[in-house]
Amino acid sequence: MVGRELTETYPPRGNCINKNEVVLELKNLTGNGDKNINLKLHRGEILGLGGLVGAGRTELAEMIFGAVPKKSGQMIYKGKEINPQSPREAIDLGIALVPEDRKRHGAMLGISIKNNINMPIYERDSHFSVIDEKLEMSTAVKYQENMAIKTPSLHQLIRNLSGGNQQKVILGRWMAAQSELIIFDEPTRGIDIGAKYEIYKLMNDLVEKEGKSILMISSEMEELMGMSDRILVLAEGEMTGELSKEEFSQETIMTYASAAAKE
Amino acid sequence: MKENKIINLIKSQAIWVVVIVLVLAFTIANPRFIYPANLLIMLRQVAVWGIASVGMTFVILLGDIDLSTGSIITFVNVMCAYLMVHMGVPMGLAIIIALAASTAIGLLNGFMVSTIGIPALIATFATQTAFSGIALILCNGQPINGFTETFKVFGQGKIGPVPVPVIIMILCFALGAFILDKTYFGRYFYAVGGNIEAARLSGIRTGRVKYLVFALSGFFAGLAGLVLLSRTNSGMGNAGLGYEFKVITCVVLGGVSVSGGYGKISGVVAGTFIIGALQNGMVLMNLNTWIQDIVLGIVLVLAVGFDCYQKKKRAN
Repeated sequence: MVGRELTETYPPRGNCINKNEVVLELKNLTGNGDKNINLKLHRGEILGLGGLVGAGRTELAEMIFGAVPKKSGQMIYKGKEINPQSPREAIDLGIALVPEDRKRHGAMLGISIKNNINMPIYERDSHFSVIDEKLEMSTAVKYQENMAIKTPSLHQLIRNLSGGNQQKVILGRWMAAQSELIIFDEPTRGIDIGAKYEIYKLMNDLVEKEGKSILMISSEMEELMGMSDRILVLAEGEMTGELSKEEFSQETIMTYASAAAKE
Repeated sequence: MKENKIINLIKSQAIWVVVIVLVLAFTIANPRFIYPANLLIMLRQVAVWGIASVGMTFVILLGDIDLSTGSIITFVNVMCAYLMVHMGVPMGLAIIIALAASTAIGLLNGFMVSTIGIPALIATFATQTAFSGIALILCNGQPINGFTETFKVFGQGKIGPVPVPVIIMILCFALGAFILDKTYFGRYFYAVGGNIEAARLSGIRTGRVKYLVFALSGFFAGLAGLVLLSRTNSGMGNAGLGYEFKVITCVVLGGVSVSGGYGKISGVVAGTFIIGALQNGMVLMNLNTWIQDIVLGIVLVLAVGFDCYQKKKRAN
């Protein structure tokens, strides 16, 4: 693991960070096992969240996404304080979560690809509760093409897709919902090497071409360093360090990640 | 390949194969079974269950259960009769009040299941017990008689040769299919029934969906109660006793998965038809009601067993 050449496995990305525009700012955010989390995420930035398993990163994502309420502190999204009480509220604000456990929390396995993509926007795309089926299909086709989802039919159950293609469907879902801040929790878990590269390219496109912002939780050291513009490290629910691109090193991250444990 | 396709077709339409086999068997046993007049009687008999099964389909699609259906049928039955006969409330208003009340009972179920978090089995069982008591208090254990001729139309009238309750049942099935296939509520039901957490994380307000589904179940049960009242022509404190199990059997027999997330109204139509055919056919064969119950029990086990065994095989 250590000492491997990283540049080859990760697609290059131009500098697309807009330092003047803070998309998400957390001030002393506390709750769900996390304490006093402070961070700033800029438009076009991929901010990595490192740490050991159980450091409270998924818990932080759940709070931002409205899945679990915060206890105290502030979340400022695009200049306004927010306090989403449900994923629905967060989604309507433009926040999305690509969860770690895809089969349990992300993909709805017994449902078609088309419906999986449209799920968050059905109410928007219905007239008097009746679904606009043409629009439903064209949305699905559009994001199948954008995400290069490989499937013989959009009516296919998402269960029948490979992990990488399932992940692309979930990404397509959030693009359809016009999300601007996408939280990836272990974006390439259970995905084979070739498809990993595709997911990375899609993530690059999101920040580079679409002007989205990404918060990426990853326990894979190479992925964290290869994809992030900056890395924040959590340990036992607290922020223990921040690294700029020049400071990236596995040793430093590990030191921060085990910092709280030593005290 | 071709044989596989045929086998798959039979597998996917298994329920209709059962219908055909049953109809053939009963016709051979007693040719009168297939007479249109008999089939219409049979459909009239199952109309009350068929109407209520639409709401129950939604509930079971969510992976829940509604045991209060029979009690809601009884309660609406007695309440509407009481309003019309003892209080002189006009028919239209009495019907609206009865349907509103049954929907409200459904909302109460939704509140207990969704907001408080009581398992549906227990919450709706409590409602069932309480409302059968309320119904008995309301009618003081006595039947309530004396409705207008117009009210009898819903249960006893005919349009051409077709009984009105059968028409109401068909409309309810059509409405149910429309909700499931054409509205976003249908998409939500499948999503929540398949995986409630994934549904919530993709933006569905799952709590509201549960409220809606139990309210709909209450509404359709109320409608069934009104049809029953009109058909029997008397409000009785035990009118819908045990009906929830008949209704659940129709739904589950129709291939709606008891663990949620899978099923279609067309299957429930077939399931309702099978229950009707079994009851009607067994009566024609002079089998007594105790034996009929044994047969229905076996059929229920077979239907659920088939579904659960398929799931188990897939999981391995």
